[in-house]
Amino acid sequence: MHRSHEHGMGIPLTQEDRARRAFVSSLRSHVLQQMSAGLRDHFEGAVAPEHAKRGDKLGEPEKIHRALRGEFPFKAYSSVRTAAQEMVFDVVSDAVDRNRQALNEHNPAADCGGTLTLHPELDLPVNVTGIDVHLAPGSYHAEYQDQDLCAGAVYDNSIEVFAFGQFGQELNDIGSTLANYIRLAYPEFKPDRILDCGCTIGHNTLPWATAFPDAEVHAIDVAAPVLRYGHARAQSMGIPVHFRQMNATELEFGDGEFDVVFSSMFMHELPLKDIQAYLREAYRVLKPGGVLWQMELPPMDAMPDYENFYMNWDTYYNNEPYYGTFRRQDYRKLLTDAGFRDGDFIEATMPRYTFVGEEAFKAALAGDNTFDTLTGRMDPKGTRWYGFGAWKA
Amino acid sequence: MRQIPRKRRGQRHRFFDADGVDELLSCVLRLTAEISAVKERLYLAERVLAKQGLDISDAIESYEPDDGEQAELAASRERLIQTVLAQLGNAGDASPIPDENPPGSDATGG
Ligand SMILES: C[S@@+](CC[C@H](N)C(=O)[O-])C[C@H]1O[C@@H](n2cnc3c(N)ncnc32)[C@H](O)[C@@H]1O
Repeated sequence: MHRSHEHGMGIPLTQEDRARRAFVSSLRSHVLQQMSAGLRDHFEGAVAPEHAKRGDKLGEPEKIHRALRGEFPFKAYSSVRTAAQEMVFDVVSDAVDRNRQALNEHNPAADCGGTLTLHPELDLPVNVTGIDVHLAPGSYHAEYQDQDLCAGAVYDNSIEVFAFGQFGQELNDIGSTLANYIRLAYPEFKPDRILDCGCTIGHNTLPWATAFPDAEVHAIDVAAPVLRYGHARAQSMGIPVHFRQMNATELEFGDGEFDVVFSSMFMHELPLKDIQAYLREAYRVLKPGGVLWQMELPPMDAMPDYENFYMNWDTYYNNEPYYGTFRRQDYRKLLTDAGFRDGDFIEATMPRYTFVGEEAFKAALAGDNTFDTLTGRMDPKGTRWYGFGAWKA
Repeated sequence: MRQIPRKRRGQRHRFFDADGVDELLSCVLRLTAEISAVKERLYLAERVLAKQGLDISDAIESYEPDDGEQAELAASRERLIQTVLAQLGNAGDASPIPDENPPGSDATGG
């Protein structure tokens, strides 16, 4: 029987499961390409000129949002996109429920040196528990039986459907891109200890162990079930990672313990005060000469007006309440407020490493860091991921 | 041991003014997913049988399902109905989102 993933935590999928999943991936791809292009055409061809006639310039995302909200293409796009998002979780939950026992009783793979340290008394932050983040029933932390890891399985399976191929074969393109960027852009830099904050199941943690085989890789998250699953998944792949349940705003590590601290699509799910606390902690646990990187949504400042509106759809409608506030920040200032020096700020857009391959990736690093309408978008036409960070003096 | 919930907490956003249009659209999309799955299966079934030299259309027309098969079909219809109508039940409990930086300054919800 076909399995959902090649690693040891993959679950058997019936032909019907696969057909439903394929449908939802196709639906998402259709919404994010065809319907989204139709929405843009309607804005540029009808709504913007209509407003311009009245001397009304539509720049701020919220103005564009207000102008489009009553329009049929916006309603249709939004309604179908919401239904598709709900279906992502729906089509994977049956198979996870069916395989619940096997998942929870999986045979620990041969020990490859990875560890799992949970902290059952940890207070979970409200940004995780207060909402079902991006409409995922149960968010990251829900447990349906003792020592449950099903939320991790739902995440792994739903990302596969959600991404319609855009996160790469092993769903690890963002982590592969950043790890290889650092390896190739700073050939002298040899990190010994690496920390991923808000790792979920470690999709984007594992590529670091491959890019830097001599380094010790640590990963933290507040949610136990995704960590349990992430640990089992990494062990089954023979990749040693140390997973720990911990809040990024209060890292239980000593000062100067890491050469690299990074996160992937993490900060935009935090309230601003927690972003600030996390960055102060990241600064503290970094060694002098170490580097901080965040793979994130590009800042509003860098993107055209319409893209800002389009990207911020999630903050209005997809249970991402912190995303708009985050994108409005001056990222450089966030880092200098946390202790980094202004001159040490770095940012870049990067082509997708697992899609373009090492040679094209290297060539692109030498080029300039362009922002365009595809930056940070999931688009087969050629997304560039965005990242920013700083060296610690 | 509980099932993974199929519905998220909180109210769904409504985009269309008329009552029920968003829900109806969701039903139609879910229905389409089911039809798509069935079409794929039938397509594969015909290919598999054709490879074995079997033309099954006539046999399907004259087939009488027995009681057990009838029950299986009824259960599968019920599952289809539940899937298609998933958004028509009551919403889960909406818990407020405490955020000291509410996105309200640039978001108005829908
Ligand atoms: C969008 S996911 C990150 C995805 C993951 N980094 C990847 O690239 O695949 C956000 C994660 O952050 C975790 N999280 C939220 N607030 C946190 C906090 N204060 N400290 C640590 N983890 C947190 C959530 O539990 C969730 O797993």
